[in-house]
Amino acid sequence: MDVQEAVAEGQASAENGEVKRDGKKQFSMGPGDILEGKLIYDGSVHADGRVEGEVRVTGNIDVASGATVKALLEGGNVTLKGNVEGMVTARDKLTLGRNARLSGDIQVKRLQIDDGATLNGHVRMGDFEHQASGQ
Amino acid sequence: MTLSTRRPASRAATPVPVENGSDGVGGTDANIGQRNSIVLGPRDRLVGELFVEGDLRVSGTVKGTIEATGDVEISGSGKVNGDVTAYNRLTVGGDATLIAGDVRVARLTVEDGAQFSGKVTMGKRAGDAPRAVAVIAPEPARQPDPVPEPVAIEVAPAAAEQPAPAAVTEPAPVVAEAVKTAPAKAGSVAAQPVKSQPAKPAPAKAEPVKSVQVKVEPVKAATIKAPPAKPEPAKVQAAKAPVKPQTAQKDRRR
Repeated sequence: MDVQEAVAEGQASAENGEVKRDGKKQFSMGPGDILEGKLIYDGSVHADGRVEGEVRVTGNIDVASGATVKALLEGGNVTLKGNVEGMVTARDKLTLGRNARLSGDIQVKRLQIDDGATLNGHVRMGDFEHQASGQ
Repeated sequence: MTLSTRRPASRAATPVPVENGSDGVGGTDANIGQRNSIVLGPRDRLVGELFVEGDLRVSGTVKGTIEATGDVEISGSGKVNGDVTAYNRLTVGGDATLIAGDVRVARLTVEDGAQFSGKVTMGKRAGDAPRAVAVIAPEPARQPDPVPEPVAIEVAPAAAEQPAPAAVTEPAPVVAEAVKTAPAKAGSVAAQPVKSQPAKPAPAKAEPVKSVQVKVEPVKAATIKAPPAKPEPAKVQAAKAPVKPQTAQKDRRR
């Protein structure tokens, strides 16, 4: 997981915006970027800066440690290191890093919470009844 | 159900776990060795409610509510089905299961692979909230009952005082009739003893006594503790109370 993130960050700094990685798209934000609205994306998203609205992706979502997110997040693997407010759905795994702060309900298949993370909300674990958008 | 205590000797000198819990990050690991600790082994099973002043480690099965002032660790193939409160840290191992209604903890670690569901509430002092609720809950339940009675408390003194002045204006003999114990005083003196005597309802047996006894009952209610008062019944009794003694006195006058 960490290796993947390192790669993603490196690419993000090299080329902001959409980048290709292993043939898959990645939408990458920088610390000063702001995303407001609804993003439905066939690929992965690296969220940084400020995000408000809704983000649904087929790939993975990772939220950088300095990011402020007030949005509904839905992705395969979701990794949070920043401040997130809103409902989070991880079709595969949700990881809360040690500095992550999440307030909102979560639905996941697998869950990992590192010591130091803060979580306030309902946790549902298991199969998903509702749509996996973008797929 | 089997409860095994890892360090029975440590129970004798139970350190103050609350302080440890509030210490947060720094204090816990260093103090684990000193704290009271309960371990539910893989074959152990707990059904019901458990409060631990210290740490709890579960690798067995729990159905019910768990509350610990220190850490709670669900490890191995431990399964917990119920609310969990850990004043400090909750750890759910990779093979463990926690299906809870409410999870209140200060710190939370969930390892990959764990089954975890429930409502999570985290804060620095996660344990405080549930405790406060528990304490507060019974009080409102008790209050409603005494409410109607307190009125009587206020009424009683008022009634006692009101007839007194009437008696004062009256000649001494009235007092004497009211209180058998002090006929001599009544004859010789006038008002002051009268006030104090009607206040003590029990000894009196004369006609006025009846009214006095009526007032006495509310006094018992007063001991039940009830500050607020519904004014209406109080007024009613007060109004009635003076009337009776007056009529009695009038009769005597006539």
